[in-house]
Amino acid sequence: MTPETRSFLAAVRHAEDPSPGDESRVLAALHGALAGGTSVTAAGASGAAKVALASSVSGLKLLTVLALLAAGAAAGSVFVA
Amino acid sequence: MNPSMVLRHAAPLHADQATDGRAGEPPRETAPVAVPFQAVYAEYFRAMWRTLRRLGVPQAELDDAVQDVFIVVHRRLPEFDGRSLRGWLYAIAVRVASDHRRGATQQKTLPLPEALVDPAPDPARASEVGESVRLLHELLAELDEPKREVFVLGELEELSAPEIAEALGENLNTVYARLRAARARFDAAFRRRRARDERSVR
Repeated sequence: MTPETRSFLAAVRHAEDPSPGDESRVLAALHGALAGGTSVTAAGASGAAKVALASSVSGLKLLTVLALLAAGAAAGSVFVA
Repeated sequence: MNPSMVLRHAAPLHADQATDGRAGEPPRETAPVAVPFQAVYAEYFRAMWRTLRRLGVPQAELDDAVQDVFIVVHRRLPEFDGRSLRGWLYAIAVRVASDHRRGATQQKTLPLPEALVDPAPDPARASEVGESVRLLHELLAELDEPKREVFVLGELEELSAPEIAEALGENLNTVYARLRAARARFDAAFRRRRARDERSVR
C-alpha cells in the first residue's frame, strides 16, 4: 500500500472507538442480561440504565439469558453487584 | 445501577495483551489459564465495538452485537485453551458480525452503501464521525466479505497473520494471499477516490 493509504489507516484506526458512555451502556445491558433475568435496554441515555422486564427482550436473547442463568454462572462469572 | 460497581478493577491479562488489542505483536503461547470475564471485557470492549462496526454491523445494532459477543465469551470462557485470546475473541466477533450482517441484509430491499442507509442516529455522535470514517466505510464496502475480514483484522486491528488465521479458521497461506489482495484493492480504491476528489476540487 502507498504511504498515503497507510497514513489514512493510521488516522482512522481508533477514530470510531466507543465513548465511555457507550461502554457503560453496553455493560449495564450485559450485566442485566447475564445476572438478573431482566435486561437493561441499551438505549438508555448517558449511561443511565433503563431496566426493562425480561418479557421485553427478544425471544432468542431471553432464551440465551435463561440458559446462562440455569448454568448457574458455570463460567465463573466474576460480575459483582 | 452504577456500571462502575459492576466490574472490579481488572488486572492486565498478560503483559503483551494489555493494550486493548492494539499491539501488533502476536501474543505469547501460554499454558491454559483462567481468564476473568471482567478482565476480558475491560481489555477488549473497544476492540470488539470498532471491529463489529467495521465488519458491517449497522450502527443501530452495534450495542446488541457487542452484547452478543460477550454473552458468547461468558458462556465459552471455561473452554478457552489459553492459546491466543485475541484470535479466539476476534473469531467470535467475526461470527457475530456475519450473523448481524445477514439479518440486516434480509431486511433491506436495496443493497445501498451503509453510509447512505445507516446514518448515526445521534446528531452529536454523527458529528464526531468525520469524513475520514465515512470514507473508510465506503472503501471497506468495496471489499468482498472474506477480504474485508482479513483487512479489518490485519490492517485496522493489527492482528498477526497467525491470529487472523485462527480467528477466521483459515489456512495461513490463504490469509497471506487474501490480505495481499485486500490491500491492493483497498489501496486502489483509496487512490481512485483521492484522484476523483482532486478533480472535483479543480
